[in-house]
Amino acid sequence: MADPRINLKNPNVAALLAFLIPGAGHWYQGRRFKAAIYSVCVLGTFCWGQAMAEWKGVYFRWQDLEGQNRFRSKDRTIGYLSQVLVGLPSLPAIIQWRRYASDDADGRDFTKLDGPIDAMFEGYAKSDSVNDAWEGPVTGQIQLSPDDSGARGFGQEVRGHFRGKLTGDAPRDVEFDVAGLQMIAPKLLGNGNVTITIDGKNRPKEYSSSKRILRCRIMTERGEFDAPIGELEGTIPRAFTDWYQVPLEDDAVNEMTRKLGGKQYEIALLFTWVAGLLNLLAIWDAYEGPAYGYGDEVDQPEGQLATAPAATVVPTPVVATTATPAPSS
Amino acid sequence: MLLAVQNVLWYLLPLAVAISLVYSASRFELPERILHRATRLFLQIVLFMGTIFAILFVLSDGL
Repeated sequence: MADPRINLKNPNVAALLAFLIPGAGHWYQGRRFKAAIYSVCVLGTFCWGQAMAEWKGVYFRWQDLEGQNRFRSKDRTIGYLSQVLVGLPSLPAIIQWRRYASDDADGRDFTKLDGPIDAMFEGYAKSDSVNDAWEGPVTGQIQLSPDDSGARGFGQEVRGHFRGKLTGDAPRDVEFDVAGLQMIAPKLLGNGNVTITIDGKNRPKEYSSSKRILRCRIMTERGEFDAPIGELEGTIPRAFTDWYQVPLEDDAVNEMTRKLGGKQYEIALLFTWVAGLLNLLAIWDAYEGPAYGYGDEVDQPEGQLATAPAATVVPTPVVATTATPAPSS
Repeated sequence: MLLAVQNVLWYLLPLAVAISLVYSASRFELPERILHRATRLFLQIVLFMGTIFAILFVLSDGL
């Protein structure tokens, strides 16, 4: 039973608000001091943990990758059950899990394009044209468009254009048509391997959440048909919505642990878990009021109930009692 | 030197502050009471963790 001096307004609405945005429920009730404490402490702890984990500490996964319902403990993000209590900041993970688990965006068909691409490209190109052979690092703008009509009976075709600069020993402007998408990946992963492997040359392994790797052929016109004369491989930016709170796969988790150090990643997760559990206290406070009372009660020794201060004690009115005669036996 | 080596433990201090404040705020309504109780709880947590740390540090000496 809440102290009558505290106006909880509509406790259900307050609890819902407190869940969605830590502190919002108390703000709605006019308890501004507590709203500030809850929002700063809960959101601060949550965001700090996320920042320590490079914003990849919160995601939801409840199934293994093959979708066979063969649950393994590492495929069940039990910790998310705590993180979700922070409310809106952690709810995108549900949407990302649904996207991740859906059939058409499972991130495993690496040769299909979902839609047109017009993005900055950075990578390596090699042209084996008879008249003009060259190779080297390139940067520029790439445009790719899918064609699902299957004009040649082989499903989706991808065509596009690249315009940019060739750097290296002989820098110059380059412009060519591209087609024959060999790979675009990862589609929808929180963190993936984007190491360039063109021409069999070993390059340092690179994991990234903000890039996608792309590989296609450089084309030239030969009579009626286009013919491949080289390869283009590199990375393009990946949208924030395609990596934030997206489930991390095993190799991505291993990479995170290796990069950050096991302790830091675990402490980061701990912060996000604690933030959710703390918000549970805030939600309950918004719904039911403070657990021990208003706070101006007189402290009593351990084991005894606190009593209200003398100033707030309402004296019991003296009621004239009429003596009831005891029944005579 | 010891504190520098155990730098991960520093993360526990802000965490203890947040826990103390939120826990105390969920118990009382008056700001002064909340802050007073939060301070006390924070010191209790730090003292407890410090004691455990000291015991474990002494026990692990030479391992």
